[in-house]
Amino acid sequence: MNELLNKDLPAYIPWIVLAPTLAGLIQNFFGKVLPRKGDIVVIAGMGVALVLSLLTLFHWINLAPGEYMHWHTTWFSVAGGIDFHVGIMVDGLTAAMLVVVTLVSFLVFLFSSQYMKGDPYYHRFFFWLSFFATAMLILVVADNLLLLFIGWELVGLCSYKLIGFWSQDLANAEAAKKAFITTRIGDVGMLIGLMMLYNAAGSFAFSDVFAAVQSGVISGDVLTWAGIGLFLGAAGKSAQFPFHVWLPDAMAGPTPVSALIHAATMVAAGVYLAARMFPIFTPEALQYIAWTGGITAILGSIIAVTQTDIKKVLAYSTISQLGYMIMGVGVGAPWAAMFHLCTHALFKACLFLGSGSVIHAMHHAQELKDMGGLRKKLPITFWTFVISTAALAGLPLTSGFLSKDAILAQALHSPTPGVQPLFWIGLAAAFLTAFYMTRMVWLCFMGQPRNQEKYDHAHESPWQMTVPLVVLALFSIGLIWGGFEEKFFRTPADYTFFPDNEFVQGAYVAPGEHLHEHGHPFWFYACAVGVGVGGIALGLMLFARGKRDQDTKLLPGSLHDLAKGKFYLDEFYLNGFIGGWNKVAAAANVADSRVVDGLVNNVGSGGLLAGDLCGDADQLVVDGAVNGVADVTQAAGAVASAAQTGRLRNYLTAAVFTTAIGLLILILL
Amino acid sequence: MIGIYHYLGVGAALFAIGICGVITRRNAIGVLIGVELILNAANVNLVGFSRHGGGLDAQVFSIFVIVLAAAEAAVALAIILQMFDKRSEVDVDRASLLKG
Repeated sequence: MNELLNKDLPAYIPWIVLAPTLAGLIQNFFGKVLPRKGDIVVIAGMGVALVLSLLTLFHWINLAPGEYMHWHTTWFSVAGGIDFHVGIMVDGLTAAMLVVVTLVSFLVFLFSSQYMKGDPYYHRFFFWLSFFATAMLILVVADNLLLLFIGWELVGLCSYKLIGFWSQDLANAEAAKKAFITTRIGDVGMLIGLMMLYNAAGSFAFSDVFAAVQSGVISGDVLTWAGIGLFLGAAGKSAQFPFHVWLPDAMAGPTPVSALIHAATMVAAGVYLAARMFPIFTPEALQYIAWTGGITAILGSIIAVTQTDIKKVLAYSTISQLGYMIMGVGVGAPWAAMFHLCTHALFKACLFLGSGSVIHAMHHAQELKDMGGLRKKLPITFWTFVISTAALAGLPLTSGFLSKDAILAQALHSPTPGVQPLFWIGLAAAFLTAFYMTRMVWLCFMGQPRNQEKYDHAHESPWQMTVPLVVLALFSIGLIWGGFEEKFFRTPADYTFFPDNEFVQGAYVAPGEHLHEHGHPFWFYACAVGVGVGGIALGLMLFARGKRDQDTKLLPGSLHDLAKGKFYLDEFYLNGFIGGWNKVAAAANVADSRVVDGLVNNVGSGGLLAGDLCGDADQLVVDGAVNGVADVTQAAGAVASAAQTGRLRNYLTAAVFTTAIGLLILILL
Repeated sequence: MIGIYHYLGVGAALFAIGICGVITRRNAIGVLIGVELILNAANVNLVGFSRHGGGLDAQVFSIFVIVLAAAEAAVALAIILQMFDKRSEVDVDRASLLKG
């Protein structure tokens, strides 16, 4: 392997992907005979990947600005001398993603070893988790769109398998199907975009595609549509409007899966793709992306206010935050989107694992109506949950404050035309976020227990579950992230492959650039902090002082019903598309059974008829001839045998008279 | 003077009587007797032809016939004895097992 590797790429980097893969294979084949179903192997494999990812991160930090690690080889060739390459590329984007993915994966695996304890399909669960980690890491280290797409579809498959992990319940299987199909619809767009780019660049490699865009081989409306096509894939994966409907249903999977796949990593892959492919987006495409993100952010946070299931609140919160990130890409600050992706991955994983801890303690009850007052029973879960909530609400000194405000600041000064209103939409979403998180924390942990029986049985989780919570909560502290974006995405040159294309230069906003230009407007920070504090204050006022519970309608009547009904998008899809499609399918079925089946059946009965005729002809003519010969012979025999009396005297008489008559004739003639 | 026609007349009469015997008799012994008559009718004819210019060949022939008739009678009687032994009767009409 050493001689194959480019000297720029340390030999241990492939093992980041290979270690979980090998661990997963060992666990898959020998898991049933290994102690604890082989979960230790999988966790250890992920631990190795985590350590190597950290090594990679430090290695990358020590590189000169603009440098990145790259290795590739020919994968396969097709007729006409067209080579397809496969390779590993590590730049700031990849290094950051690697650490986030391996860290969250490792902690979630550890958490799962307790959360899933006793499940009859424990070994299968760990195999799919491990397989997911492999696929996600392939997606992250890919140096070309084709390999990325393979990882992309593999994580989709793992997501499908894990959402439907408890497929004994039909609703879970339906949710898995919905997630799979909805993301596939986005992937059609992605595939089209991919083909358009390949057609222009003649290669899937990022560097070649970016070079093609820079040299103007593909430009104008074509490039816009290629970008939007690619973004549709990202929108499907990252649950952006109008594809977001699958993510809340995906909560049907086990909670660690929700934390790992549907909060921290896989859904962030869409953002990663959008950030990675940022150089190909035209201003029009960026506009579309920004507005999609903004609408998703506000829509998700409005719906989250009305949800009463602890995981559903977090799911809509995730949709909303992913909207934020996508908006960040759209307004020209992919580094801010990636920054928010990283911070969000960690604090949202913490929130999801915290909710998993609560659900575990409550014996798989996840409705807010059964909770309340749990802070005394689950102190560690409570404090980590509160810290992560502060980060999600964007309070100062937390990681969320840094990353969220980075996006808002860029939205305010975005070079993308016509996206300035998104700043206010973002602020509103931030306000709602702070509010619904306060609502949830209060209803879950504070106040009086609303289900005394379940409260009495609740207990703090074992260390395998609390340690991940504590570690993740630590990452919510803002100091750890100090200077993150400057280190990783400082200038366009550092933003690997960033072409010196004029419009991209115009679209791109370097970290802090505009804030420095425009100074630090006091009102901006006042707004940013104000919405967070304001949301929390309103939440405390309504729930702590007002003693409202989970069923209180917090929004004006009709808006509440609309949000509670998730804006009836599911029904719209069901009636508009799926219903119509079912009608088409029914019509096709009728056509099939009448026309095609009729044709086949008619051919069949025609054959049957012909066969009957042939049979008849055979019986009548051929058999008749044979039988006729036999019958005639038999009849002749019967006639002839009548003469054979068996009496000698009769024979003799006949002989004598015959001779006599013969003689008579001779004589007479 | 006894001419050839006398011989032939006796021969024909014997033959006719023999045929009648063979045809009408149901007793196997009777049939055998009829057969002997037919053979001897042939002998009479042969002797008559020998007497009237046929030479000795015909007489030799008739000697053969007599020998043959003796052999035939021996075989036939043996068959009849066997038949009687098996079926306690010698009716030729009922000896029709080979009829199809």
